[in-house]
Amino acid sequence: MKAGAALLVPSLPGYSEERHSSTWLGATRVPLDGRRIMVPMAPPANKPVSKATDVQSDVAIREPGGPIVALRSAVTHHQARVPSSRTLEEHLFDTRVNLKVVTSQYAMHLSDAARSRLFSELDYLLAEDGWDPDDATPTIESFRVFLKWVIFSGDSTWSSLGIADDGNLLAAWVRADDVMTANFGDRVRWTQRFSANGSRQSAAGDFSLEHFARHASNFLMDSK
Amino acid sequence: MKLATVPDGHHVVRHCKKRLAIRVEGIVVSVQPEFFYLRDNIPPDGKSETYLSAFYYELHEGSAAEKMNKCKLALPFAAPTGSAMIRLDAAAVRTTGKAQGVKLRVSHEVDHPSIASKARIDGVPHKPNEKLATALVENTIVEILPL
Repeated sequence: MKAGAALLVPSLPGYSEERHSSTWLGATRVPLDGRRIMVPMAPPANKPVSKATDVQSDVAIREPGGPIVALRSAVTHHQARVPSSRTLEEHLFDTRVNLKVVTSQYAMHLSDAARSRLFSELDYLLAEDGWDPDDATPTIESFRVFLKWVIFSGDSTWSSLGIADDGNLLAAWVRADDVMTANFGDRVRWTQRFSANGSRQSAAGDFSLEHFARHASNFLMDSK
Repeated sequence: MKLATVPDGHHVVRHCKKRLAIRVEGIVVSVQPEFFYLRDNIPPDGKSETYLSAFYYELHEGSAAEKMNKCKLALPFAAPTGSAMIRLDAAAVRTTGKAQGVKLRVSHEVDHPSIASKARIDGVPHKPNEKLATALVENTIVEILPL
């Protein structure tokens, strides 16, 4: 698919699909339909030449006027920076941009505040200061699972994000003394620490994303 | 290598990377369970950790704050901003492990050639164990020093 071409996905009867149509100029998105979707941070002037890549993304499917009922994979063409040899600074910069690109593909499902907070957290986590060069950067796959959870749950009240040794995205929710954590991989490995009946309790599990979404909503509601 | 058990009532201190810290409004308040996981495939040779590294808190002299600071200074690298030093109760580590069916040993490497306070926690299983890690987070942390 050429850069800037509309993403064509067959419609399903009874459903409408939100389609992405945009051109990427470096790290800045210029939507063809005139809507402002997202503008990632501008690349430094000395960045090496980038090359075009195809990135798999998900297309939100929703009932007319209703909630999202499914996310379907599609392929979007965009510019990703792939220099031949990268410094740590460049590697972290590229990772931040790639994660923001993925976020932009879900932009219409995230509020400006939620997106801004997410970008700020990514900038903090993936800053060169304090980064161990031996550490894995977050994987796109794991980050996408996290975004799906945010969209399905409608919850952006995480306290902080993190990165596991294998590049899975970590999230933590802190409510007074209660804490829930999640490791977003093929399945979601979660833990909870909370007070119940006057004593401290801890629990852990390994759920599908859908099951975790239901489980987490109980924690988030109970601890409000 | 000569190992001496860190006695009950004493502590070990582990460094927590920024990416494994749990923050509330920028302040480190806890750690992810992955803080207690052994790392695999460590570059450049792909080796795996066999124990969790730490420092023996009581080996340092001074006030509580000075001891924590000396543990920080014992790190073989400059302590990165956003990371934290986590003080753990040695007895609680052992009892928490026992409650989860895992024998955890907290030891001081008495004859470590370069780091006098080098300590270690042995017995952590290689396969990630969320229940054990969560219980360790819940029961063993007595102090967090944000860096």
